[in-house]
Amino acid sequence: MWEKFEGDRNKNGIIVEDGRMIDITDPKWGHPDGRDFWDLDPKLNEGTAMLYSPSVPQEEKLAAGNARQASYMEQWWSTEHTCDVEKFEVPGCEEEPDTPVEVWVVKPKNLKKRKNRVLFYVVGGGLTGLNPNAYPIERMCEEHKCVGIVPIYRLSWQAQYPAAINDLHAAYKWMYDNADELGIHNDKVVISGSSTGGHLGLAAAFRLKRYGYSPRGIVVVSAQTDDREKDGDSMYTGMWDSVEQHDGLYNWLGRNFASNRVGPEALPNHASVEDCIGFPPTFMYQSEMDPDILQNVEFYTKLLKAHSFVEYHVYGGAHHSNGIWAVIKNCGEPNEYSTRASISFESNIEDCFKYDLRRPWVVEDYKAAFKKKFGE
Amino acid sequence: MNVDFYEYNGLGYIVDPESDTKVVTVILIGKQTVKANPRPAVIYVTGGKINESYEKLEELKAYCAENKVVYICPTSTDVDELGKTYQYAIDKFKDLNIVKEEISVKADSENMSAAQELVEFVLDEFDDELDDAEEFSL
Repeated sequence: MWEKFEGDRNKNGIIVEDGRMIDITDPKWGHPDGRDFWDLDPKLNEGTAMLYSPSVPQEEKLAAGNARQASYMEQWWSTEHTCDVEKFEVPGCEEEPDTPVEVWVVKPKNLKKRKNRVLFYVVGGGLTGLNPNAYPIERMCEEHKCVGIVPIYRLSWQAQYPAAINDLHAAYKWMYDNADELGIHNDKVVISGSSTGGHLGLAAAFRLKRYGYSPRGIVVVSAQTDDREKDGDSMYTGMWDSVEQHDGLYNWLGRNFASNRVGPEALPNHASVEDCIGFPPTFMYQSEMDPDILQNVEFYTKLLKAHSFVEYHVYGGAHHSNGIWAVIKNCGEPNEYSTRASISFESNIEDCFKYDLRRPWVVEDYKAAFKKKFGE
Repeated sequence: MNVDFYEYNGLGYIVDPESDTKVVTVILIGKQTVKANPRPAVIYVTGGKINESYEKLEELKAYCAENKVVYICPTSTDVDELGKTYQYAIDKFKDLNIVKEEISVKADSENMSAAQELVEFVLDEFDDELDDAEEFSL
């Protein structure tokens, strides 16, 4: 057993043969301005790791997960907010109609009287924790003068795939159907989120597309795009490393893990190019050392081939949880480096609101070409 | 100064004074002359009075030239159609050589309510805060 994994309950049974992984916990790998958070004590991460570890019994996960969620929520609701935050229970989506979903509506003070933009914000946390305190939801709503819609989706230790996607679908549908009451414009919705928030945002967009919804754009950070490892990536170890991503997604997908039986509504890179035709404008921000960086690039190329409006920003010397994301993820000490990334990220969100970057003609052209090739 | 008067997208007419120009460098081509000093623009709602047979057309052209302003004159008073004119203006701002942030709405006395409706429509649909519509006549 590699030294790093000794004593870490989550890593029981993991084999790492010589030369197969690179240990990036040494800050020498990092961009000099973003090295903070680099050398994390794995012990700090154990409470999270046990929630998706295959070697921890389900009852133990439920007890620990519920306690952790309760503490996150207590912190959120006891904090003084700059926006009005209201909690709703909304009906389940078509695919799980009997399961209601909790949705928060975040309203800053600088909104218009009606027809406001919407930031559909998916909180991240490895599908093991949903900690709204760790993300700048209110600041983003204020900066973009938009209403925040925050779905409180089910986590992997509560219910496996497609539960979380169903919850996002339900939240989006409810928001769309109640636009006037919520004071929003339901054709001006930008989906955003970090890490699992990005993963679920992208995956849910495939579900929404299937139901005829067309978000204005998707702007995400460090989204997981695939559960199938590729030779050449996933070879780093650190905070949210390949083992953690593997186990986290395994816990969510169960027997469907790494299977082509499930499509892009599970993980975006399960999409074919054809699946991506008509996909919303997409802006992806990634770290060089995100575990599935190659699949990320592959997903980006599929969007390119499908002629979606797409941008891909990858930061060298960055991993999933270092200083570059301090502003975007609302963690750590912001500096010029992290502010620079945030400015770019926020400007992409603003562009999605300001301009309609969708390309509906691509779908029409594709249909026409298909008809020409194969007939009616 | 030459002032162009032309139809746009079947939505109405534009009064467009000749723009200033400047020369820019273009890779592989060399020099190219482009429009310079973008102007403010006015969406002038009159219910279609501004057309080739408008009796004060020369006066309106002279006004636009003197004030270095582009008048975009939609035919319709329906707010969705007026919205198309606003969309046209912001999509074609480069060709029109106008400043997107300096678009205002004016109307003759009969069409002030339609003009104000456009101002509110622009806020709803484009999130752009225009000044309240003003009355304008020659």
